[in-house]
Amino acid sequence: MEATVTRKKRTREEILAWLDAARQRKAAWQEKVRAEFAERDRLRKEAAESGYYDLEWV
Amino acid sequence: MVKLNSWQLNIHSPYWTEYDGDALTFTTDNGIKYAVDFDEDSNPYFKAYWLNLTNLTGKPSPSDKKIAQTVICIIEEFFRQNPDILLYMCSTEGGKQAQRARLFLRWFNGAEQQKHYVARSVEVRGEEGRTEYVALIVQRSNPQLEEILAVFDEEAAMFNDMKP
Repeated sequence: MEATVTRKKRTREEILAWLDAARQRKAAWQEKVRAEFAERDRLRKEAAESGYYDLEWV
Repeated sequence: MVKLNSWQLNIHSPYWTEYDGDALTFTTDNGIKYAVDFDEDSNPYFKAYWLNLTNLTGKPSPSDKKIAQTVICIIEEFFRQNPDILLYMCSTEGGKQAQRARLFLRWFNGAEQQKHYVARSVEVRGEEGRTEYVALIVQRSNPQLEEILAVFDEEAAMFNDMKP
């Protein structure tokens, strides 16, 4: 005989809150990765402009 | 979640993908860099992850089919490594979420892909009038497929019933 799993159904409000939480986590992740990328890009430009890589190592 | 195998991914992906921290990234022919991430979902029923995709460069991207192809390769690699559900919420930037949802689902509803995946979407109207498009993708081989679709359809119906 198959076991029947009874689940508590989510209400419309619970689903909207769940989506809102997912949207907020997505926005926080976007902000974090964009800030990290901008910082790395700034450091790359700074290094390139420093002339450090123009040195010839022999 | 099992980390994706970027070596395997790069066999088919039109753009070279690599991990940069926890995010998988790729750079397009137009110099635009994208990051992709999978965020564990908090639903009480099944193990699921949200697919997150973002343009890191901030410049608008010209039309480029290779972006979608790369994202699809990433999703296929996700399913190779993880048997779980994938959820996607379209960006609301520019109010173009409906077009994004259609484009996203088009590929998964292709004849070949339908053999392997089931894709569904729902339009959710929030209290403040904002409309979200949520897509669910699950492998046909998932042992809980029937149950997953039943729960999704039941919850989607709560919102579809409210359409004018």
